[in-house]
Amino acid sequence: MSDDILSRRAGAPVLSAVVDGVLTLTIERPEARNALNPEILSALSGAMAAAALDPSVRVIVLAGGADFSAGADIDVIAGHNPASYLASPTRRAFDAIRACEKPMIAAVSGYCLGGGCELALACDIIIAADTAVFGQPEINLGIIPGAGGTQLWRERTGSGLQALAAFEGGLIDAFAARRSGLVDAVVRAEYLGAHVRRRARAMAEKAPLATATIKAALRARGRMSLDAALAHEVALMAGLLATEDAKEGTRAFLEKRPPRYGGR
Amino acid sequence: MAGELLRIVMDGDDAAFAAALRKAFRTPGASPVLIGGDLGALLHDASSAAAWLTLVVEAPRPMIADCAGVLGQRGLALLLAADVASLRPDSALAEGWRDTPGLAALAVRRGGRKLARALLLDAPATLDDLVVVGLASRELPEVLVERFDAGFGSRKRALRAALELPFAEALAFDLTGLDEDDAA
Repeated sequence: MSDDILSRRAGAPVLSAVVDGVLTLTIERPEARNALNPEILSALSGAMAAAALDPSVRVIVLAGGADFSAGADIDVIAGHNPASYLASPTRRAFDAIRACEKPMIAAVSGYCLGGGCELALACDIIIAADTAVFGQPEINLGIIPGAGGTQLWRERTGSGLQALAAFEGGLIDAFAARRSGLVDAVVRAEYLGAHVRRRARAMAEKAPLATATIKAALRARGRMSLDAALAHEVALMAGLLATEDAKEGTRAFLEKRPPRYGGR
Repeated sequence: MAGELLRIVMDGDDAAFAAALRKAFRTPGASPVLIGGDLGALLHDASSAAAWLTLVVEAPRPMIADCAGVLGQRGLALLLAADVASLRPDSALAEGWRDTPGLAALAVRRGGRKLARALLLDAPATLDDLVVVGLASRELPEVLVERFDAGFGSRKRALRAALELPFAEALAFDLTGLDEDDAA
C-alpha cells in the first residue's frame, strides 16, 4: 500500500490524504459539528482543483468525523448580503464539487444537515453510518437551502421527499434515508471509514479512462435531454474502444487474469 | 451489566420526557436507562410522543421500563418500546388501554404481527398475559439489568438494521466488520 500523504497538518480545516489512488478529504471542525465556514469551503474547493490535475487521484472521498457537517456556519450566513453571498466561497466550493470529473463518495455519520447535506448530495455515492441524520432545516432560519438542497434530493428520492425536506425542515435517519434512496448504503458507524476506503480503493483499481468516462456520462444526464445523453454515451463508449485500457481489459478477461491498466 | 444505571423519572409531559432522554443519551458509553414515574398519563402531543418513543426504541443501549401503579397510555407505550419491562406488584392496566395511540405499531415492532393482533383484537389481556408472551417480567429492574452485557447495544443496532433494511443489506450491515481491518 502506498502512503502518499499530501497534507495532514494540525489545525487544517480539511485533512487531505492520498492512499492507493483515493484522496480522502476530512472536514476537521468537530467543536462546531463540522459547521461549514469559509476556511473549510475554500480548502475543499482548493483540494478539488488540485485533485483534478493530479493523475494519481482516481477517487475522492469526502468525510467528516462523528458528524459529517451540521451545515453552514450560522454566523457566516448572518454576515452576508446578497452581493457577498453570490461571490462567497460557499458558491465556489459547491460549484467545484459538482464540476469534479472524478468519482466522489460521501462518507456520512452523525449530522448531515443544510450545507452539509448539500455537500453529500453533490457526491456520486453516499454511504451512511447508522448514526447519520439528514435534513435541510434552512426554512427554520427563514432562508432556503442555497447550494442544491431544493434540487439534489429529487433525483434520489423523488419530488415528494424533496419538497418535505425543504418546506418542513425535518430530519430523517439513515435507515429512512436508505429506504428513500437518499443514501446508497448504511453501515455500522465504527466501520464507516474502513468500509468507504475499501470500496473507494476497489473503484480506483478499475480502468482509469473508463472510470473518468463513466463520470462524464453520468454528469451529462442532468445537463442534456435523455436522447442527447444517450447519444453522448454512445460517443464516449466509441472513444474508449480505441484505448489500451479497453484492449487490456478484454484481453485479461479472455486470458483469465487480472487486468493491468495504464490509463492510456 | 453494560454500565452504570441511569434513572429517568417521567413526571412531566411528553416533550419534557423526550428532552430528558436526549440529555441522558449525551452521557458517554452505553449505560442502561431505567424509566419510571407517572406511567398512568395519557399521550397528548403526537410529535413529542413520537420523539420519545423513537428514542426509546432506537437507543443503542438497554432501555428498561419500571412499571408501577396504573399503566395508562404512556405506561403501555413505554412497556412496548423498552427492551424489557419490570412489573411491580401494584401495577395494573388502565381502562381502555387498547385505545393507546401507537399501540399497533409498537406491538408489531416488539412482538410481531401475530402477537400484535392478539394484543389489539383478541380476548382481554392482562399484565400476566404480557409476562407469559415475554413482553414484561415480574423481576425487579435491578435483576433485569444484569441480563445486559456490553454487546447489547451492538446487537440492538443490528436488530434495527434487520427491521429497517432489506435482507441482503441488513446482512451486509452486520457482516461489515469481517471485511474491515482498520475500523475508524
